[in-house]
Amino acid sequence: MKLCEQILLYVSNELAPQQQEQMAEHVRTCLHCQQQMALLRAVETAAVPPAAPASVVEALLAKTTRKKSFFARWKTVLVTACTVLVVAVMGLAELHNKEAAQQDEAMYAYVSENLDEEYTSFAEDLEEFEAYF
Amino acid sequence: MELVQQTDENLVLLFQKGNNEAFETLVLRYKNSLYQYIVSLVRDEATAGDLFQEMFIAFFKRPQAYQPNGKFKAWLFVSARNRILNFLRDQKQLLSLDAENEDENVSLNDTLADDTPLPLEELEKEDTLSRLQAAIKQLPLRQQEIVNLRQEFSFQEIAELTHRPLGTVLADGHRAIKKLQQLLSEQ
Repeated sequence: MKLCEQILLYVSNELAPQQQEQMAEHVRTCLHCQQQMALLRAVETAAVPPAAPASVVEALLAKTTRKKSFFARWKTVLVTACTVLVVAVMGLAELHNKEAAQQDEAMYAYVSENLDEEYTSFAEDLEEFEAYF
Repeated sequence: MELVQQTDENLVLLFQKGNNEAFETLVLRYKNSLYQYIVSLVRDEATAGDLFQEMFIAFFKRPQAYQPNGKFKAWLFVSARNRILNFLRDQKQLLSLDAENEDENVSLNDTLADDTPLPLEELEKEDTLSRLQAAIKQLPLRQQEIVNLRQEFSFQEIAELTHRPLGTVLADGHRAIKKLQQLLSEQ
């Protein structure tokens, strides 16, 4: 291989140490290789990668490390639904208790008002019954 | 030691043990070079973004896909290259990257720059950088691939990564230089 053909490996420092030295000597006097080296270095500068769009990286992380689990995504909805359910059940229970209390009060009122009459009526019936037999 | 100071291989090990920050560090470390490599070959930023994401999502789901018997960086670029080849195959553009060049059999000496090289002063002009960037984009895909991979890898590594003989890679490199000189002279 001619020395000029090794310019790429020389610039990327991939030759054996002895060959690197030989090439360094050659490049000092070879205008052709000097041209190639200058262009290669310019290409390395020009080809420096631009930043990847932030949106691409953000989208990637959102789909991987920052991806929310099913529960996490529906957490707010689930908590709200549970709260509404508990409040509704408690409200219904309260309503039921009030109705039961009202029924009890009505029964006590009726009993307290009519107990004597009921008892008298019952005592008379009992006497009649005993007299008959 | 902070994560950004860790080697790729250590970061992969940490990620394989469940450390998601190690994964993010790898993403941030390669977001520019890998993205640039992909976009230079598919020539479409939206597609490049999708392929870039697919690459890392696949790795996130199967971190064991990388076996620590080689450099992570090489594994990453080989994986990306395979995805790019699949994409180009689907788009029926694969020939432009993987097929042999029509002048493949030209000797390496023939690919060296001609006798009327670009003057050195030309490279020192202020607008040369942008002209050079434009010229790189006009290179055939095979040559652009080498220019881009050269930012991260040696020629020997590029040969291994692309499954091509070192001589072929160097010939493509010389062709790229010759073509760039032509393009810059024309401008």
